[in-house]
Order: sequence, then structure tokens, then C-alpha cells
Amino acid sequence: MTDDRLEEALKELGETYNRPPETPRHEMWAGIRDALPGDTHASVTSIEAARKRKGRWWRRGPGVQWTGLAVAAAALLVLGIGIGRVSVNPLAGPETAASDGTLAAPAAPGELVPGAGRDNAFRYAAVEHLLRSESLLTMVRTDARAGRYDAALGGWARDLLMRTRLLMDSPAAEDPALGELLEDLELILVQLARFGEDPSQTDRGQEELDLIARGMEEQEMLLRIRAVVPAGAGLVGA
Amino acid sequence: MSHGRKPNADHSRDGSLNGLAIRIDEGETVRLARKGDERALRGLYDAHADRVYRLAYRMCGDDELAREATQAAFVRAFQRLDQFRGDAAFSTWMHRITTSVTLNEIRKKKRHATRERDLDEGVSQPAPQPSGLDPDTRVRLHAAVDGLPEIYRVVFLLHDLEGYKHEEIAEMLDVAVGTSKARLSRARKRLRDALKDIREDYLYD
Repeated sequence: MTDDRLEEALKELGETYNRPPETPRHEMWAGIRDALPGDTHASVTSIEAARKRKGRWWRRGPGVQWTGLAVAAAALLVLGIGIGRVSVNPLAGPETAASDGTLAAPAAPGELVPGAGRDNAFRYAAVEHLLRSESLLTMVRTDARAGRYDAALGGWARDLLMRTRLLMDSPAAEDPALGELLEDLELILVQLARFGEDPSQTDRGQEELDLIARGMEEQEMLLRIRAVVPAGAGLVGA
Repeated sequence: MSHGRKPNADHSRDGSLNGLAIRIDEGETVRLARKGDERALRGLYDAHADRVYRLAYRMCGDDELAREATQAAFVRAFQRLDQFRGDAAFSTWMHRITTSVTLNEIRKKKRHATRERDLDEGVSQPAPQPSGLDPDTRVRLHAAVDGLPEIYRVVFLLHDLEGYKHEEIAEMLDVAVGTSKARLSRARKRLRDALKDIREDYLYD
């Protein structure tokens, strides 16, 4: 092939190779706008997650609704048990109440407030959930560093993802710090759940796991979880 | 040699007042955007969205991925406006982010468009045939570009198809101008080698 012919061929490429369609301006701007406020770690993943978050499980199809209701019922059961445990739980230390009977200072996200039974139940559920999530994330980090991958991580992440979303819709998420932490946790769990779902990823599993672990590091997930979970808190029955 | 649109030539293509304002004083718009002024952010987006999306699409050939990369590039740029010192044009800075984000997304999601998909589309939706190039030959041409090593392909796309100058490409990819030229030269050579088995009478009617 002569240079002239190559030149002609390249001209053709300019007109046909990955030729872009009309720019979807408005749709893209909506995604950008959603991802911007207050989120300094937004990424493509967060845009996707924000898009998904707009359609909560209880607004989706009928099958999902029933599944969601069943899950919600199970969660209420867990919370009921949690309420019972809160009444004797050592997490509710005396430092959260003012000694003169006046209102205490606002509790830290993971701390329990005397007299706030319902909210305490959700806080307790959140703390327990964060402890479990911390275990998973620690394992992910360890696996990523060791260059191995445990296939069970995906299932574990899906389970925690479901609970995270329930908590995001609960009063526990009304606490700004806890709410933000749950949202960021959701992003990580979405990635881990997807990672475990796609067997074709196995040849690049380590690379994907590294990316997820890096995302965790950047968002300081473990540090933030430990900051929210009160010192001495542990999994019930663990 | 460039067969695409010239960069930076279409900022007011949408005819919006925002686009005009940015051409007049983009620095002021950036300053306001840094403070979180949504109109300024929207103005920057309006002025650069077409170009950024086009660049992302050229690189990945996938609408969904191009959208995601465009969104991620703008989000990242808006979050890092403090890091934009104004030494280079905002468009150059923006395109640098776009290139980086798109390459990462291509690697991460393994959704690099394949010519097989184009073939399928060609069967169901016959595309226009510009300049009489045989469809099969076009597929081979596309495959040859796809087959280039990434570092060559990107420079080739930016320079030969999108019309960026070597200085701009060097800035976008954080390489020396000479590196950009060398990569383009190697890309063209590889294309020639890949295409040499296409008979001349097979290329054109």
C-alpha cells in the first residue's frame, strides 16, 4: 500500500472509526449534578450508584417489592432483638447522659442515647452492621495485598449490601456522618458484589480486587468505620 | 495529517450564551465555578461537553462508556478546580482528565468496542458507505487501529483523527512532544504493516 492510499484509508477512518453520535448533553449533566454536592470522591462508580439509588428497592418491580418486604420483615425482627439487647448493652455508657438530667451533648454516630429506644435500636443495628462490614473490608484488603481472591467475598458483600440499603432507608441514616458512611459503604459493596457475580472476571480478578481495595483506601473506609463504632463494641455472639 | 474536527474550534457550537461567556472570560467562569456557582459549572460543561464526549467516544467506541467517562471527567475536574492553575487552556486540562479517565475505564470495564459488534450492526443497520470504501476493508482498517498498542492508538486517534497538535497531546498524556511524535510514527508504521496485505484493487472500486 502506498502512502497515498494509506492517507486515503486514514481519511476514511476519520469519518467512520468510532464516530460519535449526538452528545447526550442533558442526560450527562443530570448525572454530573447528582454526583457533585459534597462528595469529593465521586467517580464513575458513584455516578452509577447515585443513578441506582434513585430507584430504591421498594420502588422497583413487583418481585423485588415482595423480596424487599420479606427482607424488611427480617430486618425488623433483627432490630427487635437488637432493642432487647440494647437495654442491657454495655455500649450505653453513662458518659452519654448529662449528670444533671439536662439534655446530653449529641451522641456520636455509633453511640447510644439513653431514653431514645427506637433510635438506639437502629444505631445498634448500624454499629453491628458496620462491625461485620469492617470484617469483610479487612479481608478484602488482606486478600488484595496477598494477591489472592476468596470467591466467598461476593456473597458476603451481597448480604451486607442488602442490609446497608435497609439501614440507609432507616432513621440511622439521618445522622449525617453515619448516612454518608453508609452511602460510601454501599458503593464499595456494590463493586464487591458485582465482582463476585461475574465469573469472567476471574482472569483479571486480582486487578479488579486491587482497584476496589484502592478505592477503600482512598475513602478511608476502615478508618471511618472504626471512628464511628464505639470502642469496645463487638459482634453479639462473636 | 488530521481528518477530524479541530479542537477548541467549537466552543460556541451550541450557540448558548454560556459558551460565548466562556470564550470571552473563561478564567472568570473557572473562578466562579471554584466557589461552587452552578451556573458557572454548567457554563464550563456546556462549552466542553461536546468535545469531551467526542474524545471519549473516539477512544472507546461505546456510547455508555463514553457517557460514563464524560461524566466522571467533569466530576473529577469540578472537584479539582483548585488544581487548575490556568497555565494551559482549560480545554487542554479537561481533555487530559478525559483521556486519563477514559483509558482507566476501558481497562477496568473491558468494554473496548470490537469490530465484530460493528459487523453485527452493519448487518442489521446498513451504514452509509462514504467514498466507496469496501465494508469489509473498512472493518479490517478498524481492526488494525484496534490492534495498535494503546499508547500508539491514543496518539494516533488524537492526532490523525481528532486533529490535536503534538504539543497538546504531550500535555494531555504527560509525555514529551518528541514522544508523541515518535508514537504517531510507530502507529502509522504498524498500520501500514497491518494493511499491506490488503490488495490495492481491494481497497477501492
